[in-house]
Amino acid sequence: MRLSELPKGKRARILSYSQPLTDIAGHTSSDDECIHEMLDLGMVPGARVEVRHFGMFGRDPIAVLVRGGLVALRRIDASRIEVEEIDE
Amino acid sequence: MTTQSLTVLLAGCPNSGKSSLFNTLTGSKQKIGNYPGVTIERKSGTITSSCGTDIEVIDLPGSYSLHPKSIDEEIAFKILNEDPSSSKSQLIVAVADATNMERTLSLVLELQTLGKPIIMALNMMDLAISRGIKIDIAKLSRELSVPVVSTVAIKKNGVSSLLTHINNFIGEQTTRSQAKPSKTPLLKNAADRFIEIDRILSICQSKPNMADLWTHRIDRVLLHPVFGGPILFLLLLVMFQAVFSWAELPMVFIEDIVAATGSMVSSLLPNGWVQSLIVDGIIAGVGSVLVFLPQILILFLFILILESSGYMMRAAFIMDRIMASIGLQGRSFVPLLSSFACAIPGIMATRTIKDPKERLVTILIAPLMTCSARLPVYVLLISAFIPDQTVMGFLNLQGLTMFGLFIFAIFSAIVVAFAMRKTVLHSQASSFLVELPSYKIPNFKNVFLGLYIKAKVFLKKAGTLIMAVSIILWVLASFPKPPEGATDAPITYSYAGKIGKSIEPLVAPIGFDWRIATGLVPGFAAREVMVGALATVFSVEAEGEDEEIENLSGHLRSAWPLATGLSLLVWYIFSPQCLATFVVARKETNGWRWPIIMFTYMLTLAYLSSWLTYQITSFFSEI
Repeated sequence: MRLSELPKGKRARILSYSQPLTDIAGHTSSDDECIHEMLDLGMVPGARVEVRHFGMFGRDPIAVLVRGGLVALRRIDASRIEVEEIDE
Repeated sequence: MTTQSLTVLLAGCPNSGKSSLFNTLTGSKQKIGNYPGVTIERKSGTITSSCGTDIEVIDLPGSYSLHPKSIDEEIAFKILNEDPSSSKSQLIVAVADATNMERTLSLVLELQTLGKPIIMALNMMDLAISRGIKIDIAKLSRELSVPVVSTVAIKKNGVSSLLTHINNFIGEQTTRSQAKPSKTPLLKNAADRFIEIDRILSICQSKPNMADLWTHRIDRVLLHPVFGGPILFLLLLVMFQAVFSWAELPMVFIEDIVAATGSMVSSLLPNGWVQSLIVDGIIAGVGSVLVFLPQILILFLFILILESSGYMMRAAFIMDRIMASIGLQGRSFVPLLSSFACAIPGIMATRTIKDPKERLVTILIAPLMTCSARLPVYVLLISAFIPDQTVMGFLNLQGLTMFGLFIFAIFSAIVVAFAMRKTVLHSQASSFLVELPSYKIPNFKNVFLGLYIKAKVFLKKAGTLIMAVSIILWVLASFPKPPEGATDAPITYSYAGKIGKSIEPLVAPIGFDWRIATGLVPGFAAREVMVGALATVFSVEAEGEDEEIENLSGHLRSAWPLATGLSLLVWYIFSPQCLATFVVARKETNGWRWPIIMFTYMLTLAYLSSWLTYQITSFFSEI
């Protein structure tokens, strides 16, 4: 499952990052710079995440709770993050 | 015994309260300058150590890591990597948000790889305690092998333990100049760093399982997928409304003082050129600009509160999708909003935008935002040419015009940004990645310190630049005196009259007369100078005439047709100004190319739209 597919309020664990993607509309997710940044914000494999908020249009961007802080990112970039849901 | 002088570098993540700590340490004894070579605002201040030496404190731009991605972070990175000169030693104070240890510790672990002495300041300890977060400082210090002190930056005595440590550090320096070698492993890799952080925190911190509950509750309203946008819109509406309604009283007050000063000086000094210089030149010119201090301060007050409360990044979150549709991103919204106060801090705030082309577009459209220096011109022209009447039952026509000018400026910015992103500044993938900080009640001391600095800058400008322009204009408008038997107004024989007349043919198609032409030249220095210039020109012109000098807007109404008034109003939406904006744009883009492009497109839009306005209004006035 991808982070972009995670429903609001559900918790998950980050597994890995995938290569840049292009969506149907032709928008490309950003390069590896963005991944470095996400790593620096603590979104490393193994970290727990929870989707908290969605943007107004197209439910984009999304706000994710990581390590006690909120990080906002675009859906297309979130689709590069492979996660597994955890039940609690 | 000689002590080495010391530079303290404050490093930390954005929102860690670093700037509050800096303010508390240095008080109002701060300098805002530029880093040599690059123009990034350099905030430094001095504190005096217990042995009497000066310690320089530098507030570095906030950064999450030592992999610089934006220009802001690059500056922090460069300074942290600089070799300390032999005469000055450096000490890094890593400012950590005690309520969000994970993220800060990552930076601290990276800072350790620099091999410079570090003290960790655990800031916002009061907040952490109130949230039930327990941190064992002794253990933390041992695990990191750096001294750790707790600070509460917003309280005056909250930094005393940090000061003690800095002083101890100076003491140690005299006996031992080598930094203590760190015993923690140097972790360059993010994943490894966070494993180490989890290990350290499991030993030193106990945190209740309810992460920042209040922030979540507030966000459920403010970031609501449906209501979030309207709430933001409402907030901005209140902000701009307040700029006008709250400022009314203090503005009248300042106007009265200026008028009273003018008539007092008139009665004290004998008639003649000295009196004219002081009253018509200096008091009329500077006074007409001074009046707008309240509006500017109210606008900055809102922006400072939005920033320090943590809402500004939410606004970026809400706006991201809309900004994406014109090829920008949420982060661009923040500098653009600041540009409503002034384009200069706005352009400097674009440093947080990583994509160079997105940043350029944001810089190029920043001067289109209705900055506070336009307000004096708008208010003057609207009160002169737009009737003060109510339309549709509740809307004030003057207020509506002002709102229309704001909206038109935003609309133009959208078009310009879109056109540029599609053509010369096209780039692929852009991203939006920001941390949404916890909400905080703004610290009013910091907000007022910020306002105080803005007011100081504004008053300095009024006292120097605008005063100088007023005096020069007065001289140009007063000399030479008209020849014997002259029939026209004396000013038409003056230098100002001649300069204005020689520019007049260029601006006649857009309805400007020689007076406006005269004001356009010094107005390039600062927009609000136009008001002062017109005030000087009109009061010199009226001097000696019998008619009682009424207010400036009355003068304008009788001197110009409606078409000229509206044309000048529209001109100010786009007018390529001010000089300082272009200088800052040059520094931020490393060359004259983009400022020249900016100047050209603004001038073209200004001339075209003024021409259209003038022609259309003239056409309808005639029938």
